[in-house]
Amino acid sequence: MTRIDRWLFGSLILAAVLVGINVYPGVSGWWTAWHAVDHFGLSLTAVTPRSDQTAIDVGLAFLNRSGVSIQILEINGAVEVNGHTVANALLRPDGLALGGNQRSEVQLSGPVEPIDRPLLDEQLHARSVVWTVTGQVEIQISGQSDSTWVPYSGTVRGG
Amino acid sequence: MSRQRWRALLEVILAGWVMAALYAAAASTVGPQSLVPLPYWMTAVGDVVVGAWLALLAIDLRRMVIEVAASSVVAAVAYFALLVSAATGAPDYYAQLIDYALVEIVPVLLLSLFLALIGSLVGTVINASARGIEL
Repeated sequence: MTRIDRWLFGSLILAAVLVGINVYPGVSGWWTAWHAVDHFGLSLTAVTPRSDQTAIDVGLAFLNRSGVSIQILEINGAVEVNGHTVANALLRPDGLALGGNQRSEVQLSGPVEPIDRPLLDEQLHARSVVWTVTGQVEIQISGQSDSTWVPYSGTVRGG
Repeated sequence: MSRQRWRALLEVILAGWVMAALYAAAASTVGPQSLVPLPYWMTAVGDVVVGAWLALLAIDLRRMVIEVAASSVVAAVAYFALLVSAATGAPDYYAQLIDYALVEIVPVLLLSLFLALIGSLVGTVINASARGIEL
């Protein structure tokens, strides 16, 4: 190994260490973000049609079981009654953030189109009423530039 | 394995790791939280420098090309490992992370190969000119 060889090899090692140190917080942040997504839970609490049947209110509970703050950007959900889709709910909460190990509830409202009202009315008078809400929540982990969609689905009986 | 081969292997691993980390520092996944987030052109310049480095270390043309190609593969594998490391914290998203990382390593492999080969040309020119003036 010549002197130049040693110099080249040494600087290659130094470069490898430096780029490793540089990227370490990014990799651990990436890990934390996915850990938080994995520890994000939500459940359907209630589905209630308004008395005039113009809209359906959907209650959702969010639970952040990770240690980092999560921001909820958008929630959407299709509301089915006994298997028939009657409303599509969408909510973009402005600045709804969940701190570490925090719980929060939101209410979504899905308008029922006039054409779907007879169907809703018919299903509400059926012997049993089963509500199914299927949708996605867009969340952003604090410190990350990208957001992630978390799918959810829930069923509530009664009406 | 001879000492020279061990050294070549170490060079390949180090160069591959440097290229993977340079790409990561510019990528949207782990880049924004890096100590020094890099623009993509800096990654490109870095890859060219790594290629030149390998050329100066290998000197022999055939070894140089093999080392550059192997280090690009190492870069892709290292970047894959960086992205999939998150799966240890989020087992539910294991499949999704693997799919994502498999897509992401394609540009890492191709860019590091392309840029390091350009760098090895630069390194060859540096080497030839240095010999020409008998350093």
